[in-house]
Parts: sequence; structure tokens; C-alpha cells
Amino acid sequence: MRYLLHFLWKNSAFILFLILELISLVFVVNGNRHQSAVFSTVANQYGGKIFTTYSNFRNYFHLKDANDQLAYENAFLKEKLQKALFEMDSTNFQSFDSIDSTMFIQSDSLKPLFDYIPAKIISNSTNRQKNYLMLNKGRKHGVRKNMGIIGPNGIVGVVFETSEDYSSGISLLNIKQSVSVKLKHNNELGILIWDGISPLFGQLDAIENYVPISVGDTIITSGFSHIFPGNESIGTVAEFREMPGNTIWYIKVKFSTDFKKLFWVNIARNLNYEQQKALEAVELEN
Amino acid sequence: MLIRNIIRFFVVLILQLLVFNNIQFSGYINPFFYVLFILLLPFETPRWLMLVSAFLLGLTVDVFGHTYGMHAAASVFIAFIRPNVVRFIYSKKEYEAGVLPGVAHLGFSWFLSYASILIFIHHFIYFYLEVFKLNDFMTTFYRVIYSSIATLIVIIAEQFLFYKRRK
Repeated sequence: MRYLLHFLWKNSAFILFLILELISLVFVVNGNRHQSAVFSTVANQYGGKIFTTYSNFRNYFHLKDANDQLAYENAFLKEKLQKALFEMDSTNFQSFDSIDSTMFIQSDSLKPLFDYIPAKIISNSTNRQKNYLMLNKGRKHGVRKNMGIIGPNGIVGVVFETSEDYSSGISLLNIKQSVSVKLKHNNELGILIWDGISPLFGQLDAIENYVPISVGDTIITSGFSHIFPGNESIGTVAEFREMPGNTIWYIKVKFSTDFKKLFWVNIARNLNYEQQKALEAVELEN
Repeated sequence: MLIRNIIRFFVVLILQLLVFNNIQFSGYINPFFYVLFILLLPFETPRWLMLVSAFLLGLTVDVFGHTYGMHAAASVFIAFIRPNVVRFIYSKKEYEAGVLPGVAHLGFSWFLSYASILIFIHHFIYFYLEVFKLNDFMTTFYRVIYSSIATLIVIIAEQFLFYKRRK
């Protein structure tokens, strides 16, 4: 016993080292498997306040960039507004010949599928393998887990954790993130992933190599994920080649969003999310 | 001395979270300036205090950066091996009372080898925990190298800006 105590005392630093390393590694493993609730809550509540102050300061120096982005988005939205008043569910479509007549049609088909909560980015990273962003809107404003985050030039990420006033999102620049997308010109479905190398380029997976593609083809969201509305822009094909021994293309995608210069985003709220999820759960059971 | 180190703890933390985590130079480079705190702890610091303070520092960086224990693991590791590294690098002045690890007391070449060994080990652990897999070994290795160099430059710049050399 005395020897044991003596041994422990002599190696106390080593034992403390082992304990602390063990605690850290438990965090690492848990954080990798599922987002740790304790971490996120602390980070959201306290980090939110610190990062807000900081982002106000930072935004002051980037007013011009932010302005340009908003002006661009404004022009884009004006153009979109002329084309359609609502995003419609075309399976339940009722024809009408002028915009005025929409006012009189009380139909479910005219309910928008998504609505948007504007938010400001208060913290954002692009230089890691797993990048995250923090937004200044939280549960109080209606933000929930699994809502899409859309920037002025295309999709940015997905909300994964909310607190009362703030929320955290997984950026597209995260090696664990994947998004259901399609090629605009032929509706071919694929999966967008990030290889962790450059914040400018992503990778489009699962497009079979009999599908004709060319550099510059536009890639948009498929609308099948319940998270993002369809037809939101993501990027363009920057480079493609055959992979030896594989039946799918290697496709490099240039993101339309500059993740280093993001200030304002919209959080897309799927108004039918619960219904869609419930249906999906039934499908899985059978 | 104690108060100086406590203040340094918070200063490196704030600089790391608000400045260095936002350096968006390329996908590869992310300086971890906060390692400076562990490098500059006095030689006489009890080992348990070194380990615990490194753990708390790393964990705080983790909490605000969604990195879940990776910084804590890397920081605790270099805090633990620091005495061995000090013994490994030869210097006559090392164990005189009141000598601090830094360019001011032990000179540039001593500090360069001391800092680069510890920074490299720290970044090595951090980046491999971050990807959490060993394929693409070289891609991760480049990140280790580039970020180590970035951290080293920032830390040495700090040494020359804030500490005058004492003869």
C-alpha cells in the first residue's frame, strides 16, 4: 500500500496528464459522432454575445463588401418577383391569366413552401476541416435545427444547434456535410461534398460518367432534402475528369458563394418540415 | 509573476478567438497563437498547474471554435513534454533562478528550436485529431507544416515586439 501511494505520488504528473488527455479524447470522439450539447450550449450563449460585439466592429470595415452583396441580391430578387409571385406547388396548380386573379384564389397551392428569417453572421471560419458559422437569430426568432442557411449568392450551410438568441450552423465547408443537388440543364441528381482543401471549391459526387457535362454547367439544390428549397444556386462545374476504375465523374465545383466574405444570410424555414419528416419515418418503418 | 501569467492567459485567449481564428488566408493556414501561453510559463511552474492551465486554455478555445477537445488534447500534451524538450535543447542559463523561457533571457536560436519543436508537436496532434483519419496523410501533413510556420512567425514577432533583449 505504502509503495502504491509512493508510486502514485512520484508519478502524479503523469497520472494527471493521462486523466486530462482522456477527458479531451472523450470530447473529441463524442464531438465527432454527434454534436456535443454541452459544448454547443455554452458556445452559443456566451460566444454569441462576444462574437456580436466583434462582428459589429468587423462589419464596419467591410461595409462596402456587404453593401455590394445586398445590392446584388436586391436586383436579383426584383427580377425574380416579376417572374412569380409565389413559389407554387405545381401538382395542385390552378390556372389564372393575370397576377390580379391570384388574389381571389384561396387554395393550398398558393401557400409558399418556405419562408425566410434574415440573420447576420457573427462568427464564421473557412480555414479548418470542419467549419461552422454562428448567426444572431435563435429559437426566439423561430430558428430550429435543420433549417437551411442561404446567402446572397447561394446556399451556405445548415443550422444544427440553437439557443434562445443565437444559432450555430454547419458550413458547406465541412468534411462531414453533404447536400442533395442537381445539374440545372438535365436535372441529374448528385451529392455535393467538400474535400477539406480549398474554401473556393467543392466536389460533386455520384454523377455517372455517361451523363454529358461540361465546364461551366450550373449546379442547384434539388429540393429533395426538406432543408433547402429547390433551385437555389450552389456553383458551377470548374473541372471534370474520369476516375480510373470508377463509373462516376470526378467533378470539381466552384462555389458561387465567397465564404470568406459573408455578412447577411437568410434562414429558410420549411413550412411542411414536420409533415415531410413524419411521412419519411413511416416509410422507414415499412 | 503569477498575475502576469493570468493576464497573459486571457490576452492570448482573446487574441486567438477574435483575431487569429479569423485569419482567412487559405484553406491551409490557421495560426494557433494561444500556444504562446504554454511556451512562456516559467520553468519553476509546478507540473500539475502547467497541465491544468493548458487544459483549461485548450478547452476554452475548443468551446468557442466547435472543435470538441482537440485543442485541449494537443495543449495538455505539449505542456506535459515541455520539461523534456527543455532538457533536450542545450543551454547554460536554463536552470538559473528567475530565467524565463523567451527570446529576452535565452536568446533567439534557443527560443526558435524550443518553440518550433513544441509548436510542431501541438499542430501535429491537433490536425490529425481534426480529420480523425489517416488517409490523405500528406494533405493533413501540409496543413501541419504551413500552420506551424504561421504560428511560429506570429509568436516570434510577438517576442520581438514586446520583449527587449536583456544582456
